[in-house]
Amino acid sequence: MPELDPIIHAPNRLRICAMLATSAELDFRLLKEQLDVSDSVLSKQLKALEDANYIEAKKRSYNGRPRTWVSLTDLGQLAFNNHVAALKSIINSD
Amino acid sequence: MKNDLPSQTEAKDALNAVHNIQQNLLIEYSPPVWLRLIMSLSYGAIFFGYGMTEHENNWALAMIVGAIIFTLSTALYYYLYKIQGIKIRIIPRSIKAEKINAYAAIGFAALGFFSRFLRTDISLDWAPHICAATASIVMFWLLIKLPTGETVVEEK
Repeated sequence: MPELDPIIHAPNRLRICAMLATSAELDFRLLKEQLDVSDSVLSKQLKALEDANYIEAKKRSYNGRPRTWVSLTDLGQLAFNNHVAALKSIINSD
Repeated sequence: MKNDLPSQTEAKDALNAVHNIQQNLLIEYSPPVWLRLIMSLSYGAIFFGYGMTEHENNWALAMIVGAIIFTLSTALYYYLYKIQGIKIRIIPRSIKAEKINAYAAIGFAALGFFSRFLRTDISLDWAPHICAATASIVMFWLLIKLPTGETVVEEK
């Protein structure tokens, strides 16, 4: 039975991973808009995921303005899939 | 984590949150339908042109124009996502998306082959029409259901 991942389990981090799983990379601004949190709150959540090697953040310039692109690593994708599987197994545990 | 497992309701809420945020992202930021229509029709034109081409007739031009429009509209599709903050995935990572893409690739290859073969070798003149329409419909369906190449958009 897959186990819940304590790093991903926090609601905002779970939603960040869910969003990142839909695409190759997402912009920091878009994540902030979707979660409706401040820069510092999002940075803190991303740092926790980055420390676990679940995500990668890359700064690139676009039209002269810096943008931070965030992507899920293979390890992060695996952890997210396992976490979702664990949640499903809890629901189906009866 | 084992000692404080969430209840079934909490687990359900968490899964709903995952589902909702993914679906919102896919629907809210998807490029306009007209662009996806142009991509699909130009893709179909490639199949039609290929099926109808004989030596150097005008259908070869249809194939070339279809390929140019498809390339340009695909670039615009990618660009529109990028300016909104989404980089779409060319090669999928989820097993579901991989399967859909593999089936689509095999299907498109078969449509390309039959579009020409059925008309030239078996004299079924309507084959390119059917194959082109099928390719357009399948491409449109893929662009609606798998807009970022990874997660499937589900019915509401």
